[in-house]
Amino acid sequence: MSLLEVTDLHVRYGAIPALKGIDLRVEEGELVAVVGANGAGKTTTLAAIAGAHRASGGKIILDGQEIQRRRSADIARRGIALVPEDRGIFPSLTVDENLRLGSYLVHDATEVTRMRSQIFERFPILEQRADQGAGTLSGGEQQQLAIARALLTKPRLLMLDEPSLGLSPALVDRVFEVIEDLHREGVTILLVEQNATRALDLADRAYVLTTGVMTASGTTDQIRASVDIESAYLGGVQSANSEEKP
Amino acid sequence: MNEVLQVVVNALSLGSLHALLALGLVMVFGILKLVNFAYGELIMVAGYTWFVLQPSWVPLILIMLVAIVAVVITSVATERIAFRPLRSGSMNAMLITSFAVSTILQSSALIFVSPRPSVINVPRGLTSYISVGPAQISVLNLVIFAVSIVTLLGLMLVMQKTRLGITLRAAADDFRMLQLLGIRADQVIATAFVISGLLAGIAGVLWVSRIGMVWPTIGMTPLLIAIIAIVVGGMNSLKGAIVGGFFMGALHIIMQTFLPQNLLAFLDAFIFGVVILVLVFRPEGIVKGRFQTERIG
Amino acid sequence: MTQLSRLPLARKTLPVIITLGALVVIAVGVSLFGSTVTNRIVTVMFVHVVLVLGLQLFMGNSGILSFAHVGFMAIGAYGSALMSIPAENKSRSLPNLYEPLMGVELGFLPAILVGAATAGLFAAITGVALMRLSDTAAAISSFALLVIINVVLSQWNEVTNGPRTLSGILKYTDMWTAFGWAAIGVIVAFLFKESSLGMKLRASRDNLHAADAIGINVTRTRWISFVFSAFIAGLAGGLWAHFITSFQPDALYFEMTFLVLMMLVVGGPHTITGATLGVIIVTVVNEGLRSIENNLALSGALPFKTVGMTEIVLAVVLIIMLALRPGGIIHTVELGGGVGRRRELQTSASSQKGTRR
Repeated sequence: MSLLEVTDLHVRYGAIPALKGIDLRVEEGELVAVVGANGAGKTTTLAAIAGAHRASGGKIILDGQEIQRRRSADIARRGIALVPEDRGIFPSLTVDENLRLGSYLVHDATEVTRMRSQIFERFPILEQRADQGAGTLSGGEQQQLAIARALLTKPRLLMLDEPSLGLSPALVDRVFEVIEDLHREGVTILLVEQNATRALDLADRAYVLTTGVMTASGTTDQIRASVDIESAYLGGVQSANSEEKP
Repeated sequence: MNEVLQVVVNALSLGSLHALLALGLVMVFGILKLVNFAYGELIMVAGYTWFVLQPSWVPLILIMLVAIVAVVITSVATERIAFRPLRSGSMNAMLITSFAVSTILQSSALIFVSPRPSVINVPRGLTSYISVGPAQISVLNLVIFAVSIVTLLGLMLVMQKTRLGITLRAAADDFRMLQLLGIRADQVIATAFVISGLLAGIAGVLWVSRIGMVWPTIGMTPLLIAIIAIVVGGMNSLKGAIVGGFFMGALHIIMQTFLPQNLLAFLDAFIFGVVILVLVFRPEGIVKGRFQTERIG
Repeated sequence: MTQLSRLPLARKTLPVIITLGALVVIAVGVSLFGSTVTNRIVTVMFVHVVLVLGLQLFMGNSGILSFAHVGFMAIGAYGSALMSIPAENKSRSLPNLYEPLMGVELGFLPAILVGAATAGLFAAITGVALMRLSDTAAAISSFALLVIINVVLSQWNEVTNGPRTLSGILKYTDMWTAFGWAAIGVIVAFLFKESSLGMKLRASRDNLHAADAIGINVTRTRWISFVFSAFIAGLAGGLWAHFITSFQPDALYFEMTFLVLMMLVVGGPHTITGATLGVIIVTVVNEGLRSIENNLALSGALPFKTVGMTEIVLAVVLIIMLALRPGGIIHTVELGGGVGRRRELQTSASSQKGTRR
């Protein structure tokens, strides 16, 4: 049984359909990437899985249980952690308080201590800045904080929404390094990225999302072979071109 | 000189009481972005609980505690019955609902108790004065100041140090994200209403002992004070509410002391006038919040 | 092609015709079959139509809640009364009035226009501060404004007779006058909604940042609408004053504010047909409950006093209504504006997407 299985997922904003029946599957320990152009519905997909946006149709199954009607807090408690595009750190709280909010779901105190020291090993900057206001962190530091906080919830599935967005090239490298490490350590990851080339380098499998529809899926090699990444990036351009060329 | 001491004590006393009122209101506002117009009626509930219990054998301190508990229960009940079903609706719908809740509570007092003021027996000890040199200091004002400051400090401690406080502050920052971390919205909001009720209860008991009476619309003034204090203070932070509360208290006492007799009737209008002036020059309030007060679903 | 171009016009005029038609039916019906009591109720109802549409003009299009409009109504009421009360009545009802005002004796129309202009002027001054605030801060500051107006009116003995009743006002407003102004109010409200100003205001309501980005001066747009809508509220105050003929400041305070907001919200603040319907429904329910309350009080069937029961029932109905239908009875599409509805639905949906994300 897959860890996460999404079938025929529909989401709409008012009368506008954002997702028109997508299928998606994540196995335990996998790193799955969803790539596509801006506005293709990648963020909406993650929001729907996390319960932040209500699905209008279809099923989301975690460990054999339907979760598409659950509230986001319940879904988080079942082990899905979302690091949103805007990172969602609490700016008026300190770094330490942000991290503590992550570990409230874990009740074993010694386990929390162990996880925290692990986190600080991975992100030393967070330990240095523990008592600083999270709003004063740089973009890269905020991203690290957001990922660290999500990890402290001990997620079964970590969903990352555009983790490289707005970061300098050096920091992008650092973020992808972290993702690679996490994957190697066995964390199951669903990664949404506009930076398709980098995402495909890391992932085991990938999906290509084009204006609310999955247009391709498979292993990263298959995707690379079958889809012109440039055009997937630019959305509808590919189909428009193919219509013009007989 | 003696006047200065008196004015300072009165201003601090009233300011701390106003700060309590403002904190109770901002506690809910920070999370739901709802200005709870039924907040003033919590003061009324405190007053009537006291009024109903005072003929009994129950000692005064216990009456006061029961009054505070009654306020907490009312606060939580209004959230559960009136606000929760509307949470996904617009902000205006919630504001108007709170207005409706306020009307219901007021009219109930009108029907079941009396439209006229009911007298509260405030113990003699509280209404007396002590002389510090030539200055006459009201015991009640000292008590109000002491209770308010202890409550303020206690609340600050809870908000800074405990899991509950951190969660509430996080909810004011980004409620959606908090839920994504597995913390249940209903619980957080209910907690906010409990603390709001607790503050309103304590402030209510103090308020009623100042006035010595309770009537159906008694909540109007404290509500207005709290609203204006949080607007002046900057809407979004606890610090702002405290600063705004003290500002309003001090302004009130200063105007009361120095305004000519024939203008005293316009005291409230002057106070609100000053407030609107403050807003012209500082639309974001005295304590500038870092973030816009936009509502998130 | 001709059909296509005719559709939007029908979409815009049909709601006006429906609204006016409903008001005409009520007015004619009451003048033919109504008693003095119903005549009185309906006259006040028409005044409420003017007031609620004035409020709708600002609140419905901008999305900003205003508690101050009954205050503006009060300014209009007192301002117009001061202008129209005959000199001999003034020396009795306002003996301490300032000398220059003592001799003023305007006719009905100029008097209510002066009253409305005063309300507009007051809104213009306070609006400079208010319209710069965020939605919530503006809403609650408008609440403070209502209180300021009430405090001043009930303390300014020389001009308003303080908290006591001001009397001696001539009765100029009858049902048909009120109807005439209500009809004008309906037309003005529709014209405003479709005007470029109304359009800009609605754009700022649906997506503040987008409106800002396409060059709409939101603060200015809001300010103009606020002043205009306060003027209309002041006008309603003048009509009301010259119908009631004696009143005190508290008659135009919280209770009235609650009633008026309820009318707007129950009917649907975004639509004019909705707002008008809200006035009608709330008037009927309110008067019905009030008469039940009075009968109960007279019969002595209940062990407690019944004053306030109407308010409780109204408030409960309002809460249930808001929970079940938060946008009001007619929320986005005007009644009769359903012609070519698909397009409208889509635009409103896309605006929703803009704000929700």
